[in-house]
Amino acid sequence: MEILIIGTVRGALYSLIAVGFVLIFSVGGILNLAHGTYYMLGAYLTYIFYTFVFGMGGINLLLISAILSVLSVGIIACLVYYILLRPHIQSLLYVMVMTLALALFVGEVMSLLFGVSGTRVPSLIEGSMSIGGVKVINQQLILIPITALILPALWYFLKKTKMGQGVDAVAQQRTGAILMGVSVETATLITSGLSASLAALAGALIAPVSSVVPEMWLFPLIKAFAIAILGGIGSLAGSVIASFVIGYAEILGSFLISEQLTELVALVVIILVLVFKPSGIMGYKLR
Amino acid sequence: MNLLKRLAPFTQNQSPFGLLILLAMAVYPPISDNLFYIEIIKLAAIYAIFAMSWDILTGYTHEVNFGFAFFIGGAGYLSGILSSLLSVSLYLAIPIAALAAGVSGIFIGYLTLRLKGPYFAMATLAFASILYKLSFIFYEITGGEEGISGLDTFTDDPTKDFYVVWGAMVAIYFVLSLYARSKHGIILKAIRADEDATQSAGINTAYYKIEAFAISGFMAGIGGGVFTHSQMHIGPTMLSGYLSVIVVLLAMIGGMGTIVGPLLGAICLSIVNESLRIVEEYRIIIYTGLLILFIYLAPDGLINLKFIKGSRLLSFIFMGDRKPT
Repeated sequence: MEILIIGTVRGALYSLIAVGFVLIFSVGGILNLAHGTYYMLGAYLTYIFYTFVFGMGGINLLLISAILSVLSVGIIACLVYYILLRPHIQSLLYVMVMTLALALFVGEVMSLLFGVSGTRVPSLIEGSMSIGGVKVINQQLILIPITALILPALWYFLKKTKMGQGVDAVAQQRTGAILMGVSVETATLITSGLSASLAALAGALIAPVSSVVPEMWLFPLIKAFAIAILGGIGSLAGSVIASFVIGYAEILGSFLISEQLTELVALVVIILVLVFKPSGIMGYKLR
Repeated sequence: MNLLKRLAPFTQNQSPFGLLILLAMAVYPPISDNLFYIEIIKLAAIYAIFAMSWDILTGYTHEVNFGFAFFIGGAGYLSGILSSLLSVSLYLAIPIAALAAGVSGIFIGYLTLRLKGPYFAMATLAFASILYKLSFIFYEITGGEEGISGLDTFTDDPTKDFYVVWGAMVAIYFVLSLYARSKHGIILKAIRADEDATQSAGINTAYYKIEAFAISGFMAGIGGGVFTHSQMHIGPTMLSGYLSVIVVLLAMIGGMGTIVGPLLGAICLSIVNESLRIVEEYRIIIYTGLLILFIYLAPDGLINLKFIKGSRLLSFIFMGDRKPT
């Protein structure tokens, strides 16, 4: 039971992070190594807005600052794409190095501003709940309904709205989409903003229950990649399934073997999948 | 005259600029007796070893190795453990560690052989992160966060230490640049251009890729071992992603696929980095910001800039090519 609930919470968190990562990769061909940084910025900006702009007001102000931080991370991601990545978007190496250098840079800026020991953000909803004898913090539990809301909304956006269909078309067949008059640049721009906002949302939601430290970008990134690999790069459904698989696997690993091994699970998954089945669960065959 | 002739293959088609850098570093310590500056160019030389040995795999095949700290830190830890716990002499410990790094290069190269582009990069990153995590889990051996301190050094004199590092760097520079100019280097370049075409010309591309991986790992292992013993310390930072990224950045800014480019990039930027210590608090921010700026302005590296490649004189000075008139 414990495994089930905590695993679901983790799976929900990971799917918020990983969906954006997979989306930007399949649409823009951008392997965004700054994805963990957007997650971190989501947490930090919530803190910044809440503490310095609103002066630690009530719960409504916290909610507003979380929303503001998600929006501003989206805008930052659009700027990063437009100014830094767009000129050399064809070079995979350039994109990877640039995003990773950005990740280091932002991490250092944050540790200069707020110190390495990190900061704290109060919870949106206090207290904890007991489900089937397991105590869960409410703030963590809130992730489940939010993810359950966001993912169908994303699906609706991609399949039903005109803008989303354009994005989806670019992801499926780039050349075909260009011939049909879809602007690849606009699609990529929208996707950058969207995927970064999803990561930032995850960061803002998890900030109260985990410490906000400058190194927090690294493990979400590795997990997002493990999920993307396991689910098959380019498949959103696969990545959602893989998020929950990895979430449960980690909890199971930490219960059965040792707490320290949880972070190794994702890494081992990356290597095993890459070596034995490089296309992942639902991905199409690698070229 | 005879000696000159025998040295000819080493100096022919070498970049005059690269040789000049190596020479300048050698004559610096006798001129200045400021130990701080000697320490700085020693660090620069070590980063140059890392950047050059990274370049032989990635610069020539364009398969991005993002987990280079695996070889550096792995070899560093191995030689540190061998010399501190088992009291093996460091002249034996470093070659053993480097060999182990080379062998693990063969192993990783074999596993990741079929992977391309981002998949390859992330697989190497994952290997490095696993080792990083393991260094915390087995803290009885590795010393956890603190690492292992008080290791043997080469000599007691920092200047002589510098010459040991310098010697390693020069040897690696020549080995790698000769390798890159040999048949093997040309095949690696062919793989970079078109792997399928190379394969259909009857070349076993897998063999050459694994070979490059092993050499790159071996050289990085030497660099890591030398670094560990000249610092008398090894810690988890030597396995961290930060080091991997810095090596990639240094080599990219210098200019990939040239050996002399990474040498130039690593030495110049490390000296810049150390001289930023006057503003210690902001050092890493300014440094990483500077690296981003360089990558943004010259994504192919300084040595591959258009005006250098276009001019006959400059391309001779920097690359050592004699273009036909």
